[in-house]
Amino acid sequence: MKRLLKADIYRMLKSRLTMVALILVAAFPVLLVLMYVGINALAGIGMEDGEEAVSLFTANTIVGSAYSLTNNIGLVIPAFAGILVCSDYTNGTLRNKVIAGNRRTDIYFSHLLTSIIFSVVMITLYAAVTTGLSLLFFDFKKDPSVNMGLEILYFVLYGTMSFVFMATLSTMLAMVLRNIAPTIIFSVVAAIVLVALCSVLMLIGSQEKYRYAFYLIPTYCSNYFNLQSFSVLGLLAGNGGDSRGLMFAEGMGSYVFFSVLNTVIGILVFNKRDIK
Amino acid sequence: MNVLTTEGLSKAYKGHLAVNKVSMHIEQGDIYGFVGENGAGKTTLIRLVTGLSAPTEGTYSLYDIPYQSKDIYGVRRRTGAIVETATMNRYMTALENLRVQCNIVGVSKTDEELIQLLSRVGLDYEAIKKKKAGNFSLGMRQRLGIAMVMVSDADFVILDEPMNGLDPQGFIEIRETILRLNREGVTFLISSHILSELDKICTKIGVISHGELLEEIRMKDLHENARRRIVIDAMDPPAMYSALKTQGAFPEISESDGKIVVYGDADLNRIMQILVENSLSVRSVNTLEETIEDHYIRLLGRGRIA
Repeated sequence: MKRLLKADIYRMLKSRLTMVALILVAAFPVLLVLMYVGINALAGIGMEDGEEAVSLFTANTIVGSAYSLTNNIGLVIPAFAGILVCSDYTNGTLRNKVIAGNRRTDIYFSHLLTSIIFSVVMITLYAAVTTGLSLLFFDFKKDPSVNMGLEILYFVLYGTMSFVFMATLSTMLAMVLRNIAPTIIFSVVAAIVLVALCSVLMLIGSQEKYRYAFYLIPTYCSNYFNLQSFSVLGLLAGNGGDSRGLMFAEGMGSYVFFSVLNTVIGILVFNKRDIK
Repeated sequence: MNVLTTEGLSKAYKGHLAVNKVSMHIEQGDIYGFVGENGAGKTTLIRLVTGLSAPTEGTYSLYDIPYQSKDIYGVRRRTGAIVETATMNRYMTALENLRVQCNIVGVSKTDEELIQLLSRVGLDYEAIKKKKAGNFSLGMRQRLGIAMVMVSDADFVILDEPMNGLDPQGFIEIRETILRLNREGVTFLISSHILSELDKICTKIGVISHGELLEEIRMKDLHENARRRIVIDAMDPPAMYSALKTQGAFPEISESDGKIVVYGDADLNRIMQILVENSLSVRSVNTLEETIEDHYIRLLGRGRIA
């Protein structure tokens, strides 16, 4: 398993796709932040002296969307992870692993771990560049009533976990569908549907009323959290530290459950499959 | 020692039996030639024994370990295979592909050893060191594929159509590589359409048709029992075929490509006598021994055998 993982990581590092992804995650935040700076500047045009310009974007809003699955790079990373896994099928190199006597479950886990490493590295890099540039150009509003250190930890863990979850989904899709195009389509559609569903839930009801959504939609919790923590700080009023901790645990539990579910389905199907 | 044994192995796809109750036996040191027409079931059987597909019925064992046993993973590490085409990462160089393969099969080799391996299959490292495998010719990819198989020091190697895409020089190099490795103790299962090549290297052949194994025979036995045949390059093949068939009472005569073939221990003097009596001219008359190709054609009932 360790050697398989080494082979898969070597394959990932040598792939042009990794190079393209690295360029994207490093360059895209630069373009994005510059665009936001421009929009903020345009919003200030025509203001009278003494009037305070309204900032459409703050560091809070930009950083808050860094881990979003449907914003910017969020859709690209799971799709790229799916392509990486699928290319083992399309190159036919998956055969070499089976013929050499590697257990199919080990092959699956090696792909899964590679996919998770790829996704986490890419989103961390993207979030780091986005945060750095945002803090450089925009104000970051702090809420003295909350423990910001803990909020940042929640935010990063949730964001990272959402991409781990997506990596388990795209790996499952790649190993089941064995074809790059449907893997990309289903990964993107799944991310859009999940985020759209939790956005609708957040718009139409309170957290308590739709608490079950925490368990059914794995992205719900992180969206709720990110929104609370960074974008709409006012929402934090009334939420004590204890309930935040509980919410965090429930949300992470939901992610873990669905990640395990994806993996179990993927392994069961892959173990039964004839390999072409 | 048995290297591969299959017992009533079958594989069905949507009701179609691609492999039908095949029982074959490969012993250590064999170069087993797997012969059959396109779609006969050769590749399907190779997929079964390499673990790429699961049998619908029957069983097989590698080194006497049944495929359902947990120990099968260990013995598979002693097996190398190229199924259909050599598979590799096309965006990597030959050396990089070998490094990946080392990790896949769980062996450690230095770059020097891997470069030596490339030269053993006829790939000049200096000439290809910066070239991506995707830019290799078919023959070069085939050779790299064999090098990847040999990375594991496997003692059972399965090659599915290894001569495909190779030039005559490539044929010779691959043949010599197979023979050399066999002398070092490597057992081979080789499927090929190029029967003349198999004739030169195999110790045993298995003939498969429509998913069924028609025959397994040692080359030694095939040559010992080889039937002599007389091949006549005739000026008027139909007339000669008719004369020999009606007047000669030879058990088996066939006509193909303008040549008349008389099988068995036919009396050459009697043949010549019939030709003279009927005033039939010939370009040449040769006495030959049966090859794999003749055996295969005869087994499958092809040609106009009387």
